[in-house]
Amino acid sequence: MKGTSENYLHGVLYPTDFTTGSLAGLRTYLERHDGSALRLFLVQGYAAPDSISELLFFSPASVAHQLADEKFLEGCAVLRNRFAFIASLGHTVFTGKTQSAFDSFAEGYGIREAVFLHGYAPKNRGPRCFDLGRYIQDSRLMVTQINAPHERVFSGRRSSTLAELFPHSPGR
Amino acid sequence: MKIKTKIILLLFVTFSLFTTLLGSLVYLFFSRYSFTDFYHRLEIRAQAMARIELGAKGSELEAFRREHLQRLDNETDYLIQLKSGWENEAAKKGLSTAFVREIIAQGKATDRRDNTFYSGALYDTDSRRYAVVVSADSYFDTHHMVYMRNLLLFGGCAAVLLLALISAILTRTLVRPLSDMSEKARKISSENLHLRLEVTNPKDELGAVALTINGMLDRLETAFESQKNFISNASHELKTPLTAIIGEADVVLARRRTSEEYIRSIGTIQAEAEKLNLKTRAILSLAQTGFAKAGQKFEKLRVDEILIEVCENARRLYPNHRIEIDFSLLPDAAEKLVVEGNPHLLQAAFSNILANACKYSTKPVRVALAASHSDVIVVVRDSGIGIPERELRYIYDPFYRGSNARGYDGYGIGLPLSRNIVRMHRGTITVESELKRGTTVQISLPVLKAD
Repeated sequence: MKGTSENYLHGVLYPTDFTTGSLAGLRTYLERHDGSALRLFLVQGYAAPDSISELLFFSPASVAHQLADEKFLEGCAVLRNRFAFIASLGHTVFTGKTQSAFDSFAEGYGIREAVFLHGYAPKNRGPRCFDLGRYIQDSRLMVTQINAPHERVFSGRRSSTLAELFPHSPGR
Repeated sequence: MKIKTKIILLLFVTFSLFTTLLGSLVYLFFSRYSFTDFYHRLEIRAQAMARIELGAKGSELEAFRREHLQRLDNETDYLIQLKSGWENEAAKKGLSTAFVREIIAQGKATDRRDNTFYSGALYDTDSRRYAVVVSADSYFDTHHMVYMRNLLLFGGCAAVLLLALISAILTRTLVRPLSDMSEKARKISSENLHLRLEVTNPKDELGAVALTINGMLDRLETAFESQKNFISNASHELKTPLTAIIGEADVVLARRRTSEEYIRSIGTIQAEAEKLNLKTRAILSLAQTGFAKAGQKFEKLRVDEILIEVCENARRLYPNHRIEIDFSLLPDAAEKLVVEGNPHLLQAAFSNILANACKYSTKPVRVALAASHSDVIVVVRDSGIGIPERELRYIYDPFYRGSNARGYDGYGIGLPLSRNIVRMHRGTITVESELKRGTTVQISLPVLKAD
């Protein structure tokens, strides 16, 4: 962790599946936020490999880099442009398997609050990805419940557009 | 020169050089070592000989030498007392005067004449000084080294020839898939564009080449189909009003008509001619926008302003539709909405997309605007009839109409025209659609960077 004043800002963990759909919930959270500066961590659960050789070259940062596609990063950039109080917005993966590992992870990153996205079915990419919901609920962090926007743009498919960031139904 | 020949030659030359260099170095160093070793042996023998001949316990040493030391080939001992006239004695014994002088000067010396090696040293006894020399033929040099030289020569040649053979076989095996690929590619023409190259292993380089070529063939096939579609659709679209005009004219000229009938017929002909005019103008616009931005005037402009204007126009054209503008994700900094472009062309692009959304949807249409670090993003979303998934690949073909869009007005020019305009502005357009659920169009235009 860097020893800058940024570390004293409010750290918020937001569980993501690296799709633009998951960013719609983040948008809802940010719209409700009081406007104080915060550091956002978009985190996905990811089971670290069991093989020693794979583990040797395993890096959470590179995994997160692979999972986050161009549209997702573009969506993050749109939110940063819109909500100027976001001091930093990073994405990574949590590779632990226990609650205490999750608590240590949150403590390490200086995270004090976590968002729990209610009613959102994550579109995990690959068998190694897992949802952080249960860790968030059992953690000592301040948990903010957000209801997932009801409508995905096109159900059953990953959307490749940023339309998911505008999830409100046009008067159906 | 063929790649196969190049590889064989390259391997042959490289390995030949390597083998020659290695063989020469082995021969050179080993021969030097054997010489040094033989001179050392001769030196020891010279010292022993001097002690036998001049020392106190000469007879004992002589017995020891006879018993334990094997005589070397043509081994000869020389003992020269270094007093006046030693040169004559040395010459008499067949030794070189220069060699003996070197012994005197340096204490010991070596010499070689043909296959005979000489080693000499000084020996002092009872205030007399002697030069002791032993000469012998080196069996190792005359027999073993020659054998080793021949062995290296023939072994090296055999190895090089064997390598040439192996490299020829290997290269043939490696290059064969390339030849097969070339043979298969030669058979593919416009008549059978559906044929594809065989991909044996997609992970190796040849597999990657085959996949790339197959991808290119996919694109070519689509382009060919688009071309065919364009010709067939354009002919159909232009033929329809022409047929109506000719038909109407034939009917009206078949017999004498009243003035009202002539006026009505001319009115029909005018309407059809107007349609024809619109279609030809659309083709012209499409052709013009298909070129690079040369000739178009580009300026700094704000996308939100253009979008508001386009929405206002659309509201006038489609008064029964609700068009909602969503600026909720607009960035705080207005400069992030500035792009470099032609306002008229961009208006045309947005208008076409918005018109499509209004045309194919009875429900409200949403237009949203946002900005990332690099792009201004416009999203137009409707909840209309959608586009069948299998037809999405043809939506940019001029005059192409979706199979479920037959009952709606339009020529199938709007989307290709919009795409050309967006491309002129170095932007991208993405269409996502689901049948009976609606269509979402996303346009990204690069933000003008502040210098």
